[in-house]
Amino acid sequence: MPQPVFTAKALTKTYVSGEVKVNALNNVDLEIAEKEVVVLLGPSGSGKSTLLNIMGGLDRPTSGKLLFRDLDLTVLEDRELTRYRRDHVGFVFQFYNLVPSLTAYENVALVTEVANNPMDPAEVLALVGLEDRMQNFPAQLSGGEQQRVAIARAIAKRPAVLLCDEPTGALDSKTGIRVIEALLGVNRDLGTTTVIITHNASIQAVADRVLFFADGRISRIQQNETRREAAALTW
Amino acid sequence: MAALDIKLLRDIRRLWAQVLAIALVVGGGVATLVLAVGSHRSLEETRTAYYERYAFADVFARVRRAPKALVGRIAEIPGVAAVDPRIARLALLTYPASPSRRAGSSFQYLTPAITASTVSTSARAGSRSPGAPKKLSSTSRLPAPMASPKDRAFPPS
Repeated sequence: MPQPVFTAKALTKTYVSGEVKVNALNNVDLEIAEKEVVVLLGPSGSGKSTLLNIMGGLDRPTSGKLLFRDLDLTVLEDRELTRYRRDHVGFVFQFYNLVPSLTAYENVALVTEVANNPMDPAEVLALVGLEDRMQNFPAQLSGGEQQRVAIARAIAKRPAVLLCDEPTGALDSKTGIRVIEALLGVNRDLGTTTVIITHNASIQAVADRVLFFADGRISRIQQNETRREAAALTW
Repeated sequence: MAALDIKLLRDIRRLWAQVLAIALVVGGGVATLVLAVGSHRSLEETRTAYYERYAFADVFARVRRAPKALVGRIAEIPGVAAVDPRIARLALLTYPASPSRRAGSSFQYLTPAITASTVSTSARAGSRSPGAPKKLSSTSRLPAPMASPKDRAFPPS
């Protein structure tokens, strides 16, 4: 197995609200390898997003350990976590969070202006198939196109990992497939480790591994011998 | 131009009415502040100039049971600018237009001098802050015999 990007050991996250304690993550052990595509599947409240947020440096575990390569994320200060997110992590959310008063090109340029070794915005937009829509504002783009701009923005800084929380959740199947194609293209061309949260079981076929979540635990791991092309998906 | 600058310019153009309103509010606030500071300075300078022009004392001191013979010695005390030898007391008077007798604190009843009031102007110019500690006692503002006409503390009212 290639060098792991993430190594989680007994990762636990408990939310406390008054006297009520909710175990969002319960002793999760996990390794995710370089260039791997991992799909997290499970019902709402099973701990997928909590794990993604902890891996992305947006949240901290209650106990346990999470390593990004050799970096222990659980002991980092806020500023160090910010630097980790800035340098190594790209996020794609269900709702695209684009700046409405900037064009697609400018939305991507927003990131490339502060990144250390960014890609050219035009090049990265071409990578997700939007070379003809660069000067359009978000309101002039379809949902799938907006999500692809968000993907372009996430990968423009050449992150080591791309964390996607329901990237196709707000899209119809045709545009969703187009977005998955863009994610797989980024993984293939740039070697970005990609973690995708989804409720859509059809998407599991494009992954190297599928982690099934239930009640804050990984209930099952499925290793796919071959990955299907996004174009072959239907739902 | 940086993407954030482009965003700022576009947002300003789109929200021009709100931006104008905010600018007016900020401008009004700054103008009010400038006016307030200017007025405060002007009043302070006016007060200082007035006090200097009329030689307003820093300290008014009153003596009790001082014979008039001491006037000269009191006037020689360092810092004493004027000595006003007179009796200043409250008295009840009957005014022709009013049947009742009224107390007047600004009235001077002159008798052969047995007390004297002193006026010190040891620091006539500057250091005249209303907040500074002072030893003050009230005195009459009616014209009265002074040790020297040029040392009169107030203009005749």
